[in-house]
Amino acid sequence: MIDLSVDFGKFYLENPILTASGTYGYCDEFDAFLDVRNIGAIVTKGITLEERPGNEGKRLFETSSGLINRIGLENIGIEAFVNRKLARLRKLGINFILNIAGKTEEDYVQLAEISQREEIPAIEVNVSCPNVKAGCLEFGTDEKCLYDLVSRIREKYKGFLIIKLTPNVTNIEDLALAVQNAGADCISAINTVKGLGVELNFSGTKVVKSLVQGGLSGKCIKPVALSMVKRIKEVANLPVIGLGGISNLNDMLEFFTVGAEAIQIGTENFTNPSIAVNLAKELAEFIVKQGFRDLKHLKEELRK
Amino acid sequence: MKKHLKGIVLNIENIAKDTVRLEFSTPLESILPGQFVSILIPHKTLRRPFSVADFCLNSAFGTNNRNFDSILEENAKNKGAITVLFKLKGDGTNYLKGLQKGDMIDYLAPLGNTFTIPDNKNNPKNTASASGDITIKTTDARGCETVDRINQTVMNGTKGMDKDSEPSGAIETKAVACAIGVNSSKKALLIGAGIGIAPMLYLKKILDKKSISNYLISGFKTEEEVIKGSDGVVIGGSVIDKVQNLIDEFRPEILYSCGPKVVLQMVCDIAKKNELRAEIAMEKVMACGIGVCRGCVIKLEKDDAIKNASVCADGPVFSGAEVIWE
Ligand SMILES: Cc1cc2nc3c(=O)[nH]c(=O)nc-3n(C[C@H](O)[C@H](O)[C@H](O)COP(=O)(O)OP(=O)(O)OC[C@H]3O[C@@H](n4cnc5c(N)ncnc54)[C@H](O)[C@@H]3O)c2cc1C
Ligand SMILES: Cc1cc2nc3c(=O)[nH]c(=O)nc-3n(C[C@H](O)[C@H](O)[C@H](O)COP(=O)(O)O)c2cc1C
Ligand code: FES
Repeated sequence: MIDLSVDFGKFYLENPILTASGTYGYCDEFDAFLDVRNIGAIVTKGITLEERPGNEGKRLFETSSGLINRIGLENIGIEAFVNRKLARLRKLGINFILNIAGKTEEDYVQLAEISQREEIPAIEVNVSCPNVKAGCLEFGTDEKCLYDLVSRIREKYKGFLIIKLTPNVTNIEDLALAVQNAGADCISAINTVKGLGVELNFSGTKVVKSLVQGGLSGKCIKPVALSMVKRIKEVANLPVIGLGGISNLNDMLEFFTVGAEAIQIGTENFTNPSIAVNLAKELAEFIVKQGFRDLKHLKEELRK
Repeated sequence: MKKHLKGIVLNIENIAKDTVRLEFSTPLESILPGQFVSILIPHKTLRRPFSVADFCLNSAFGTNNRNFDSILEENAKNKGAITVLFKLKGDGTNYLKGLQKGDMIDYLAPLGNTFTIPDNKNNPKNTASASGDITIKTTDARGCETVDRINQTVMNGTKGMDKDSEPSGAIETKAVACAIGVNSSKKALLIGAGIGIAPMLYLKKILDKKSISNYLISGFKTEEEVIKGSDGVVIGGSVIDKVQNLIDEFRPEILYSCGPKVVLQMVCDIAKKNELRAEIAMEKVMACGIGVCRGCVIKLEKDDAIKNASVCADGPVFSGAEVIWE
């Protein structure tokens, strides 16, 4: 057996392939297609304090090589997650990371407390949410606001703390440093890129249009994600989990090259629901075929 | 249990204007009416969902197909065949149109829920023979059992009608009932609009198998777009215009429908007026197809509470009375 493990100290992965938040639910559907225990870890759908119904209207828009979504964080809420989903994940021995989101700092702090109480091994914090108190400016776009948020979460939560950065900023380096200084254990990048889908239908001179403003994901955002991961690694020492448009082995190697320790698969799970497990196999085969000793050796060579 | 599968195209043909019938192999042993498959389209992010229009076991599909080493072995087990009917829309359907016999298809199935089938107990009249339906069972070249009903004849009759004297192109439903020679009681009335006929055809096959008497009326914009298999066809006009007459005549217990939103809404209105249950198959753009991404949700009103439901996993079939229209 080839060693594909990634050891973050506080958190251990059998292999570097994770499934991204919002694309794998709470992991109770994909087990129809594959053995989810063979995935490095699954990241849950973003969970908020209260259950959320999500956005009205059109939620999906396919673009060339991508997808715009405006789901609006529809989720069952932390209480239902703890009562209905947590036991199952544990019973099946699924390695998971809880993704959390909030409207106020207090929301996040409470979610951190609950995560600590429930001994959840790792949480990923979605900071691409509008901060209601700061005029709905996103938490993850202002370094001061992000530093305060992460510090407060850190106080309450002792497990493996991952902050998921948004690419919709000009100063990703400053934000990465804010996260590091506030005591987080890891950065994941990137969340979706702001985008707009425009659909036009004509009936003579009458135009029927539909605009879908949301987050762009999928193959088309990979170059943005690679650039962000590289820029973060240039300034921060924290380990980085890379994501954005990954759909095959080569994409994954590109992220390792720019410094990612592990990767997440998002939108590609929809296109190819067996991808996460298949990629782990392909990676092991590739390492053997090329003659690397293990994943660590491969990463070293990629980063030389 | 949902599966990620590979199948081989067994048949592909044009069956009406811009309408294609695609049949492919499957190892699945059963699929319920209303369920759908989600087909991978190369170079597209999203799979494309299509209703199952027919499913049969024991197709004679075997190893004499073109050689696809990696999937051949897997497909030796593929004794069943799934049929979908699709209308050409954009890239996805145009890609599928170009497939040929022997080509490979990557699909997820069976997805979604199913129409509920009324039980036919306590109603001895509702057996196929008692209701007077003429059913001819045949076995086709691949060994698939198909049920060809006399309705094909009726359809052909419609086609021959003088459209000028019948501007809506509608057939007299009474005449149809006569032609089939039914006692005019039908447990289920099926209403298909356009390509929405696809799941209705499979539902009809299952109802027939269970000897639940039924009548399928479908509507098409033009004669060239007519897809065979209904008991009655409306061309040009609205299929809905015929529904009240059919309800009065057949006194069905349940309405089933699939088609554009406007048609489904009208089916629900008619059902409500007649105090009938309506089950409708809905459509929404989908990403995951299995209920996790929440991209395809609609709103339902159940027990005085409003709740989200995913079309892909909680649906696509919903009780018409519960759907809140956007
Ligand atoms: C449960 C279900 C069953 C369906 N059954 C059938 C069927 O039996 N026969 C048939 O012809 N069509 C069916 N459809 C619609 C079919 O999926 C679309 O026509 C098809 O996806 C169009 O793809 P395209 O690439 O050719 O067109 P596009 O150019 O991508 O789109 C044309 C239109 O198709 C719809 N569409 C596009 N992508 C999707 C998607 N991922 N999911 C749902 N709708 C989409 C949108 O309304 C869009 O405006 C069904 C849809 C659903 C949700
Ligand atoms: C339908 C959908 C829902 C998502 N929901 C969440 C979410 O709840 N929380 C979160 O942090 N990211 C969410 N994301 C973002 C993804 O986790 C990921 O960061 C992004 O899609 C980029 O990766 P990809 O290109 O591989 O999809 C969602 C993405 C999609 C497509
Ligand atoms: S398509 Fe993902 S929930 Fe229905």
